[in-house]
Amino acid sequence: VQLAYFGGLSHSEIAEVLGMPLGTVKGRMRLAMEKMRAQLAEGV
Amino acid sequence: VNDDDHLRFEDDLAAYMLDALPGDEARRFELHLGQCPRCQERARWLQPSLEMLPAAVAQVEPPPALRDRLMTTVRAEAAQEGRAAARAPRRRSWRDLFAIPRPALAFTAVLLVAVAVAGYAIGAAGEEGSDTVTAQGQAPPGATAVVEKTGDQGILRVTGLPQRTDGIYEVWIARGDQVEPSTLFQVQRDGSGAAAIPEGLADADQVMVTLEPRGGSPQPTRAPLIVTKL
Repeated sequence: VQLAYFGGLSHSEIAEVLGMPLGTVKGRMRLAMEKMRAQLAEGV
Repeated sequence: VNDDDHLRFEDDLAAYMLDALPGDEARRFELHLGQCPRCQERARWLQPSLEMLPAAVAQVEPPPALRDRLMTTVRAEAAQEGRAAARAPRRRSWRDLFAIPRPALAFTAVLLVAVAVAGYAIGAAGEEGSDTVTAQGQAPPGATAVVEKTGDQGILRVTGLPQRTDGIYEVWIARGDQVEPSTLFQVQRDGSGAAAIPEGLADADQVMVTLEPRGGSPQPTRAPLIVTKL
């Protein structure tokens, strides 16, 4: 999320930087955004 | 949209919202998003996460010169967008789903800058305390204008001005026969509004307000609506 939002990198660039498969990068972005959303809902 | 189709795109939404999908992939996802209520609902649900991100990093106080650079850019882009919009229809994006027309977003951006600067100015004025001077301005019938000046900065408060969507109110600072642009502002539905004047008031003679085309102008293009002698 940090590399995409603040770094302006695309998912394939992030996959290269982190040495992860593309699917993993997208999946983790999704999990991170969902986790943030859930925490916001809890008022954390 | 069947389930298989939806599942194929399920992981793309967050990447898309973070602007991490390359052009062709983003366009494919947009096509899916346009006809997938589940993804649209998900996008709305995730939106606060996206909005929270800017606040997740250390906040810094902007240097005063940033405001001038920002407003120069805003004016240039507004002029450019006006020309471009007249020429070609723009590409539809997922933001259209939330039905906020682009000009409104531009206004919101300008307002947010104004509010941020106002907040900063109010905070700063609060710290400095007592030496605030209030000057009543000449305004159209039914309207009022007051400038609260604290050192070099201040706040212009207005009431009774018509809410205009075809233009924006621009604040000008006059010194002798020189006139410099200051802040842009809009008024609320009830006709009230406030504009932070972050600098230039210390040796100013007058604060004026004109109605200008969207994006503001580098020089006044119309007669002033409000004139406040300091």
